[in-house]
Amino acid sequence: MIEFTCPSCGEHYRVSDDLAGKRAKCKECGDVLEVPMPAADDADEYAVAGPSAPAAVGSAPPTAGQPSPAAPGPAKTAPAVPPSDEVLQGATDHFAYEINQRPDFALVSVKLQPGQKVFAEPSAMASMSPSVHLKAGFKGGLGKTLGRALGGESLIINTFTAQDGPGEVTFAAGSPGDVTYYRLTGNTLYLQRGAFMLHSEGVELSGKWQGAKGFFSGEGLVLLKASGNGDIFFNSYGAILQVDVTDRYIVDTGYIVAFEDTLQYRVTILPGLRAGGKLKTLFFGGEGLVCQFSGQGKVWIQTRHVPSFLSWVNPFRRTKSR
Amino acid sequence: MQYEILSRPAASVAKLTLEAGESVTCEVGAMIAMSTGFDVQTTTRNKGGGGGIVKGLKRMFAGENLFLNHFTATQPNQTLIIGPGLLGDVIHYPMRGGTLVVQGSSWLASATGIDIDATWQGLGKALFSGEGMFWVKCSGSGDLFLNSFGAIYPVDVTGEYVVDTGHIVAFEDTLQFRIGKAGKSLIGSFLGGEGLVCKFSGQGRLYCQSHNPPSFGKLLGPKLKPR
Amino acid sequence: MEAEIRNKPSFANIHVKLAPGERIIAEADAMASMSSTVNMQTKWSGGVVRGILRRLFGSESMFVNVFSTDSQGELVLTQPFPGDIECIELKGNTLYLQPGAFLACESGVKLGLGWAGIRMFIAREGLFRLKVSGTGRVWFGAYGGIFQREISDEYVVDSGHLVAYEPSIRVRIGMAGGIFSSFFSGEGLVTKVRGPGRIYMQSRSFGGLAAWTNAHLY
Repeated sequence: MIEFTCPSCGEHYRVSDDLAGKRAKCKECGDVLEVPMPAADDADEYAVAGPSAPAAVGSAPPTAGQPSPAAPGPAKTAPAVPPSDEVLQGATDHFAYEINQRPDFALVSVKLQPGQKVFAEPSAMASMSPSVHLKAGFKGGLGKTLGRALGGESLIINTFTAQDGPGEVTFAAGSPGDVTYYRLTGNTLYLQRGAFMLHSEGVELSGKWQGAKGFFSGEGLVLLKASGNGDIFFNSYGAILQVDVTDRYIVDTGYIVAFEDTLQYRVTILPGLRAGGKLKTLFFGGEGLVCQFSGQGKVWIQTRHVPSFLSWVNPFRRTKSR
Repeated sequence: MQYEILSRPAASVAKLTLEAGESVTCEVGAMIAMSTGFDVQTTTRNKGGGGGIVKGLKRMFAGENLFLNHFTATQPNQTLIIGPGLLGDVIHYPMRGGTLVVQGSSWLASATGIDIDATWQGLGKALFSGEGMFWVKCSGSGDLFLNSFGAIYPVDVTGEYVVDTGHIVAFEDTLQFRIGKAGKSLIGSFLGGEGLVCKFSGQGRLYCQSHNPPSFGKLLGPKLKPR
Repeated sequence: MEAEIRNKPSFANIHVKLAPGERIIAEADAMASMSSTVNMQTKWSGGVVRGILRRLFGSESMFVNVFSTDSQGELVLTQPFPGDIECIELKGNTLYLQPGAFLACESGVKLGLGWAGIRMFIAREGLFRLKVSGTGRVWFGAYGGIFQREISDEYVVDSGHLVAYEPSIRVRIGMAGGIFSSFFSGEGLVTKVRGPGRIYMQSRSFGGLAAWTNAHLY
């Protein structure tokens, strides 16, 4: 059976499969419509267009012009995760938080009671109440900060503390994308460089890097290590997909945001993925570096790739005058 | 092959599930994550069995360090997640005969049964070589995946419709088209910021995208470190 | 004139339906597509001298396009960057927009240049702010999602995240923290707003995007 609605008036129809592709007149409004193909999945790709897609006439492919725009997230299965644009909120031992404007321009709002504090990446603050005091500083001592420098994060960690009264700080990453909250309970989370955003007291950050190969391959696998007991927020370029690995899984290194330490990982080159021969890529795309995960644990993947973005924007940069 | 489009509408990816023997072709760099039961080939031309005929690949990727990957599942129920380079949406387009002309950077992947011809220059080579634009003619039957910068909206052309050239994703080749100026006078349209536009006429479906990459690049570029 | 903002907030664009006699005025580069029954005319915005000033210092280009039709027509207006669009109906009131935020308006809306003061220039937001007043709808947009805040006392906003504000809001530039912290934190100078009134903020900043991109370039 094929189920569809008239793109002009929204009248609902259910017809047998052999009418697929046939043109008919809507009983309700009289407009000519075309019965779509039976594959249920086809409906989604036109749903994105919004209500004004009229029925096609002529040799066009089937148009199941859905009157309402597609909802974000997976199409058919009942989502086990909340819709990707849902506002996420929570309250921890350290502060209350809210993540808005998801999944493409996520903004974290941290609400602090007097004396509470949050530690943030430089330049992440978008707005704050005047009762919040900002202090730039080096956290963790020199050894740890050196490690953090090699991990790609800057040496500076900013501390925001609510002083004279309760206050609120909103934080935004530089890249368009989502933010995920994670609670550390004595375990360790590995984060890709650039993904770290905020953490609470009780969390220790240190740099870890995958040796020379990882370091000189651009994104490679230059990692930060977050451990302890507390809250951490990390951001992505693009949307975030959470994958629960149960056996083995392969992820291109440029798309890894974070993963739990219960997973084993190995960075390899998948020969079939390499862009062949003597290509010299300026921004390390296409060299086929992947991370093979095994074991049980979560890995967070982002849906866009920094080197591709850099390659695209490169021609628009001004050239240095000699 | 089953598919699911995730993370809509601005950072969309296609999650494909393939049975043993099924295969899909996409450009190198599109692979995000995959299960382990795949045979992966890199090629500049079709080796047969990895999808339809591909013509004009050198032109397609002239100046770009891109090749094609053919993914063939060697076991049942293998998943592959692919995505485009820029922010934007992904749609599935089921081809059933007929021909679709696709803007080069909007072609994401195609499965067996679709022929790709990148030598097509119907819209005029000279006009687009500066912008790095090329066009890919897709024909045959099978699953085709397109991406956009921005949201995709279809327009069913019945009279005449005008699109700024950077906003064209794909169109059915039943449509006629010509390149022209947007406003009534040359000076007006040049200064007015709308460069060249494409005027479609006839009958057929046209897919447009709400945003265009060069406008974004021109705004961001000057704020970056010079190269 | 029917106008619908679609695909908020990530790639917001405006689908407009014009009837004979109706006009919509839009930023120079804003047209994505339109039916051939729509006429497009280019005009200088706000006079020659102001237009040049804006070109040199602000990010509004000198020109606007006026769209009209003799029969009926549709058009799609968009921004150069991904992000959100908001629509405000002005009823004789005024709103201040940051440079680059203006997208389109109806004919009864007046566009003017306001001097944001030398301190705004130091904050690299441009010397000017755009003043919109009169009657009718005005559409503005930003990189990122747009959200509102009602300000009663004082609030601190990173300058790149402020899109628009009502004239009752007083605006000044200050430091994010002490001298050392303001510099080393990366936060630098901020905009301190004092109410009562409403401000519109964006959840990303173009400067933040450029900085993030630059961190990956060499």
